[in-house]
Amino acid sequence: MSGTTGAGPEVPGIVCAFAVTRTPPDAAALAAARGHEEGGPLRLVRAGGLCLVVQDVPAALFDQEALTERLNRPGDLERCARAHHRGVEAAAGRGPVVPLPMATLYRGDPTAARAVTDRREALEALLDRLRDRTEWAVKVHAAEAPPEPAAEAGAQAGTGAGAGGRAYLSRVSARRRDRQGAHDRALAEAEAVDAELRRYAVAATRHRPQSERLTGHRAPQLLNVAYLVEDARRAAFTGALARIAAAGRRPAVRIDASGPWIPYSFARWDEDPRFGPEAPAAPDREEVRS
Amino acid sequence: MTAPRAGAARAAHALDLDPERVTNDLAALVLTVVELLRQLMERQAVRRFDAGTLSAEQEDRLGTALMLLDERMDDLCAQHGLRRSDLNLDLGPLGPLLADPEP
Repeated sequence: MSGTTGAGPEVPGIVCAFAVTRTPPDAAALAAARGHEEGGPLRLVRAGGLCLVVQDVPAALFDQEALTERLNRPGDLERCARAHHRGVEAAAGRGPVVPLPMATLYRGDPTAARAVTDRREALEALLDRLRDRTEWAVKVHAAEAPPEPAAEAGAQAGTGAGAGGRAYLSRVSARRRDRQGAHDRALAEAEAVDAELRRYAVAATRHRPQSERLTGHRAPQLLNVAYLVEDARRAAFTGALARIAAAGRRPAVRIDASGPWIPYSFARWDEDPRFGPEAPAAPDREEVRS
Repeated sequence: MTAPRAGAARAAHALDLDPERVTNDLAALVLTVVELLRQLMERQAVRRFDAGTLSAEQEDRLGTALMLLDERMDDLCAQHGLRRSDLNLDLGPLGPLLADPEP
């Protein structure tokens, strides 16, 4: 790898792709939006009736090695995620979009366009599926336990029950039972919350619960679900959310919800077109050659 | 391909070699393993205690040993400026290493 690698004739630049849409976004809006800070302005690549929102990015920062390393740093990862979201939002101005995974990179426009035309059928199906629908993220945590067990144990020790080894074992046993009971209750409530919300959603997908380090909560995350909600049903969904989260209804859990989001969780364009439980039959399966 | 030198410079930049921190992280790791074993022993002891298969004397001895071990863990954590809740590892899809972290 000494020196001469970059000398090949007309090496195509690297383009970072953000989202696919049928409806090209307003040119002014696109110009006003900013993708990755290190890259050029956002622009469109047309590919077989679809539009891809892309940005030229410097190869030195976006080759595999450099990118892997940058994405391992939380600060850079966040900047990259925000830049990606800005690009996707800019694409979403006029109609449904299929957001691409963060840092989807191609060598030059023709490669990017080919990637889109090769998957046109899946992308069209996704665009139909995501039209007039938004994503809502709901995270259910166990309610943080009040710190009373310790005080209780201290009180027992004062009465003389806490001194011996047997007393210690029975305290641990009781604490373990309490904790298990609380966990079971919280889990049951989390499942009930999910079942209720699914009634108002077109689809739902469960993500792996985030670690406590990530959430900053002391209580474990029990459920991390994304719901795909029809715009017409949005009021019903948020109403259900408000009802469930109302004080006292579900004492064993804490519910955090956010939305509406661009439906990232339901735009897995690289998987085969079984998009989950209720995959729509792909409408007019046309073969594309362009 | 980037020049190897640039790569090495960046890699070195990513490593945190503050000796104090390295020592502390190692202590946390060791204590995590010890805490895991302590919890496993305690769980087994409680299971047998609940099942009633221990004699009163065995219960007392086992309980005392576990209680002392528990106190010792508190001391060790305090020495290294750690809380019990710091002693855990996120095993990704498998969840946390310690199922019931102490508050």
